[in-house]
Amino acid sequence: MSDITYKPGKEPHPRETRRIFRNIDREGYDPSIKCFMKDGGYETLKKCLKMEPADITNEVKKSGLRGRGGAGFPTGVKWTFIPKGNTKPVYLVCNCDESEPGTFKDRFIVHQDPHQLIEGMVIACYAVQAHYAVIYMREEFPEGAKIMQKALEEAEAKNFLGKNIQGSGFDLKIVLHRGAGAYICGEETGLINSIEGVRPYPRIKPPFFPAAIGLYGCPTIVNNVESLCQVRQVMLMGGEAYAAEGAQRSPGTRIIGVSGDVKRPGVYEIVSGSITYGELLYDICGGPRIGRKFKAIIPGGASAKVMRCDEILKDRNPDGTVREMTIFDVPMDLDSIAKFGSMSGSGGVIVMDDTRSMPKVLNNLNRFFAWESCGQCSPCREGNPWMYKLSTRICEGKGSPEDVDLLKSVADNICGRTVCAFGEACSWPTQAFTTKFREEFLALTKPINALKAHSAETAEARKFLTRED
Amino acid sequence: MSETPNAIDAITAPVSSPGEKFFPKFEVTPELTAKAQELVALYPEGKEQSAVLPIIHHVQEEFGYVSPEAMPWIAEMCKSTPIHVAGIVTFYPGIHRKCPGKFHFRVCRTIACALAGGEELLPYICSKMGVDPAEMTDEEPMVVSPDGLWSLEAVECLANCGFGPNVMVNDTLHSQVTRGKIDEIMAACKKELAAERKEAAAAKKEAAAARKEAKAAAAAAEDTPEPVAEEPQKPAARKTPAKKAAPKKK
Amino acid sequence: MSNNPTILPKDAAAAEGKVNVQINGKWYRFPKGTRIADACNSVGVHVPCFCYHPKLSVVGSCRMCLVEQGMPPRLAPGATPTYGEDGYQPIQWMPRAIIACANTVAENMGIRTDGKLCNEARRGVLEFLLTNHPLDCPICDQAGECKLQEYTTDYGSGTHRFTEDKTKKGKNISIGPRVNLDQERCVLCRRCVRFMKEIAGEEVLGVVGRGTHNAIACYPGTSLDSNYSMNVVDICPVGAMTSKDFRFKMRVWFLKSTPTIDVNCGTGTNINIWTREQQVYRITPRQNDEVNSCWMPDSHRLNYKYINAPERLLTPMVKTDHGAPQRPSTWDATINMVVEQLHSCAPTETAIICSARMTNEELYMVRALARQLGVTKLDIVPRKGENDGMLVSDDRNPNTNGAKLILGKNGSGLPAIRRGIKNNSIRFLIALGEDVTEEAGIEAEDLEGLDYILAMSHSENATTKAADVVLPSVTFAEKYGTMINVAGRIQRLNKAIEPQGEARPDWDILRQLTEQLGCDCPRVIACPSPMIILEEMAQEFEPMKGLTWGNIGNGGVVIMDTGVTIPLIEREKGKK
Repeated sequence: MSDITYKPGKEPHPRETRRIFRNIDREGYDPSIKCFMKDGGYETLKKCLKMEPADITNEVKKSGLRGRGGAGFPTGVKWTFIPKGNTKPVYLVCNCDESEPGTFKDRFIVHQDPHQLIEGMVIACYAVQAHYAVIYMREEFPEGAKIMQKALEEAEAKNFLGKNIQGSGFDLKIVLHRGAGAYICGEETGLINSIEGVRPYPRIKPPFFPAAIGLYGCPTIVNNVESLCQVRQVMLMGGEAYAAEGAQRSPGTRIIGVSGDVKRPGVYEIVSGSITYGELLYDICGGPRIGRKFKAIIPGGASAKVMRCDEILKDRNPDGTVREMTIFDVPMDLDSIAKFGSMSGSGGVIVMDDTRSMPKVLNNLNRFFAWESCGQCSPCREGNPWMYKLSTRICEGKGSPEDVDLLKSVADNICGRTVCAFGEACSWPTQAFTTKFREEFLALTKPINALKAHSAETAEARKFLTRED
Repeated sequence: MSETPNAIDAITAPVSSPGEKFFPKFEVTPELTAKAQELVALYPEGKEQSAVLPIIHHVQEEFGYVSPEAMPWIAEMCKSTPIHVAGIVTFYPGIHRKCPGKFHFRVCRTIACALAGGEELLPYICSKMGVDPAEMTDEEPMVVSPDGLWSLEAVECLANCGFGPNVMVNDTLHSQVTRGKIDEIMAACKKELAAERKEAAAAKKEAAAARKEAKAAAAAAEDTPEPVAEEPQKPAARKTPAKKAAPKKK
Repeated sequence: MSNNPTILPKDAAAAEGKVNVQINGKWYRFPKGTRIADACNSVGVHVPCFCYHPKLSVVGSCRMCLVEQGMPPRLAPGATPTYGEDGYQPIQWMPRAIIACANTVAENMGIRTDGKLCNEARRGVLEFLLTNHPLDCPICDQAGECKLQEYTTDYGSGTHRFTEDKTKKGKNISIGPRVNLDQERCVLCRRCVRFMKEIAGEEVLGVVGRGTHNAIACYPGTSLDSNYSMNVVDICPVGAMTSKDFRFKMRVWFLKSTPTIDVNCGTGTNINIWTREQQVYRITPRQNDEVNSCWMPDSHRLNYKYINAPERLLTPMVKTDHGAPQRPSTWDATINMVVEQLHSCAPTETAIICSARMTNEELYMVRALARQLGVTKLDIVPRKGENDGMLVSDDRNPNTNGAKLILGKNGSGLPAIRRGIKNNSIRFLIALGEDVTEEAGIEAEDLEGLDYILAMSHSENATTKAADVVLPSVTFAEKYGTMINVAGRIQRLNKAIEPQGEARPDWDILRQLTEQLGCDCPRVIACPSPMIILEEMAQEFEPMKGLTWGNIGNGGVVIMDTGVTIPLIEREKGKK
């Protein structure tokens, strides 16, 4: 794509493959429909509108496209979960509540290339025959909301939205719905509740699988922003061509956001599995800052389990022999890192170097999760503040060695027992940090602290419970 | 336990904030109702409740925060109940129950920004604004400066993690913020305020002149509009041209 | 099953529309769609729940009912399932516990509630629920019937690992005229919120705040003042919602509960009366899906104070002279006196006003008395009110259908009696269980004009004050009997406490009077109990045919088609 020039200092790294991010930081490109259409925008949609909806779904299934919101569920398969013989309206919701710390890819699409998302959405809506769609955008994108609103109006004016789109007889209304700063709204059923105007508590599954019982009790497809843009890409390239590129089980490009202690943090679009974490951090991001060493990597957003950079990971070669490697040798696709107990989630890589105190990092994450817990189910509501209080106390030097084990045990008690995946999201960091960096936690503790009162109330009660003679 | 305040009355207990002087007081006008109805119409029939967040956003844009008086009105607009609206309002951190300052700073303190030094910015901004950092707690992360001009809120993840520390001032995101940049931003805000005040003063003068003219023309005019000279900082009453001239919170 | 090897258990179950489920190692059959929690509880395997209530929508948020679950292994394409000797497929246990309230049973499913996974999950959830709980059982009214307390002793860890500051919330908040709220004791199961929204239809309760600050609240300025508000006290599994009426009155473990029915309207709500030492402390609804589901109106629930009130009549009262004040007497002397007096009353100038608040057995005795006296001017007092569209019937008499069946009366003869009293064609009045100056509409001065008034009542009122003889009877809590509700269901009243003072059950007073008046019919005079009267009636009245005290049971039996339905029950059935 030599015909594209990027803004100075924003040029893509040679190892990047810009598809979704093709127009990000592009010289002379603005979010208007004019710019988008000059570049072949909405042509794919026109092509798709001439196809049978089922064929689009098949094409997406063939492409092997997997959702980019974190869970990595195959997008095409998700679409087929709408019950057969359904007579209710079908809804499509675009999850633009990008709120996983470390993930910041959707921001660029929304702010700089909104029509790409709209085109992808219209295609997806046509495929699942949804006539009403919602873009759920996080509140922290106020400018993005204005840009998107304008883009929607432009698209409607050009009849890419509204009644009888491009003469196909297909109607679609897209509504932009803004959240209000709650992490839990990124969970698809919480998001649906938020759109319904009730408290955004996630729903229990079963029975509330959105594809069967979603928005207003009707079948609802919830897709991430990047996934919907990838749908457009699939239809542009053809399912087979898309499937042929990148990792076999997670084809296509991925957008990776790198933050933390590297020389060049930022967002990079790479072909899935084409590079390793080492290549990403050393080649693309320029390695650690001068005089420092990488210490730990959170490979997939704040809730993924942290990886030690000096950890020896054992993998099996195809011939059955064991291969030793480190996190830097793991390829960047959706599944490889899962073999080592973590996940690549929504593609947010957070890097910490040797100057960082791991208990403090964990405490920061625990505060985040304690703050963001919706409070619907008991383990998460009560467990998160407890973990936060414990890690704070440990960081303040008021913890005892037993508190480290207690912290881990509290996390174990949350994990797998909650309504939604937040239970795992909030307990994985604690489980991983306290296991992998146990010595750092223990170094902050003193055995005598176990005997001290940890709350004002306890101190007060002690006056009555201990004899002073 | 008798000294514990009633937790239920606390839901609508007004929280006074110096920021209020920069925003009009909540008032139901035909325009506001029309806007709410427009928002309700975006959603399928019978799903009025869906509009609760959009209406809240609109109220917040207009009046700075969701005051206790606004909640029953919002409930009425989206055919819901006040307790339901209170449940929504108290849930989302993005909905203010206390009026923020004219310039609302949101500082991200989540992991990526914290690694980049976001938390260290907080005391600095506090000192610049003239507020006590101790007032910021985990439960109430927003503080407003005594002059009502500034407010500071520690928030979680603004989704720009690669370019921390991130600070949002009203609707504008500033990334890779340093102390120097904070100074610049605050200077720009002050400039904006000065320009706004000048414009408002001019508009007021104009309005006063127009009023004088009108008074002279119709000596027996019955419904003379009230002069708005008492509170120079307040955006002039809603229906006067001054309001339209004054740039809104961006 | 195993006798016939050609039929697999799954096919045999499918033929009945059921599925086979293994619970703690034993196989059972349940109808398809049964919730795991209900299935387990029905076979005596207890599954603890806070948020799950069979009458409310399922939210699955307390996570108390986590159980270990397993299914047959997923087959590779083309593979055929293997069956063990018992005809079942092997169960592959899942590493993750599931909630028993939201998930339904499936063929060949395995459930374990006694394994490590389940025990740890329960212990963990209870520990979390107790972290921010005030642990104030010694001063909590719910103690003794608190699910949190019970489950903690059953499944909890016994020690406390939480040593940090607790989250502070509101305490002792008056959330309604009859209900108090303690937000710190609350486990946020949201049963109360769901009840008010889904059953009572008034969305006054909600959850405010977020995360650990979540709390139940109503909007300031509004209150939980629905006539069904006290049901939230019943369904609250902990001491968050407490009844103002019952607070601090009595520890529940001292109370005895007696299943009976409510007598405030024709619905005949099934209730439990909670008593200690002849004192009634509270009334709670008892589940009957055909009558009142799990609910009852506050107005009925709180109408029990008269049982132990000072207005109760404790001894027979007689006037020895016209114009003389009443004085206490003994039963024997009083009955003898009444018999003598009644003998001198001309039957044509005598009227009997009885009550549709009486049981069938009492009405049967009223009929016997009337026949013995030869009185034909006899009727009940109708009571009409407004139907609230829920459980309160427009018929405020609990046994109108019984009166119709046994006496053939529905209150239409009452105006004639009233006129007769006014124009002096009636000179003698027998008022049974009714204050005739109230709904019957007889004015006090008209009563003064009568020659003779015999009143039978449990409490003092204008009629008993004017009466020549007062026979103290008992309230619904002190007697056995049956009543027929608006929908034609015959239900049992059970005695919860002994009659107060020297008061006697109405049926017995009437029986004795009839006997002493000269009745020699053994079917009347030899009746030792209401149960036997019921059997007598079963032989006489067609709808009651075959009825015995035993086969009515605690749920009652429909014996006639009245065409009347109970709105709340209809709605509940409509939902299914």
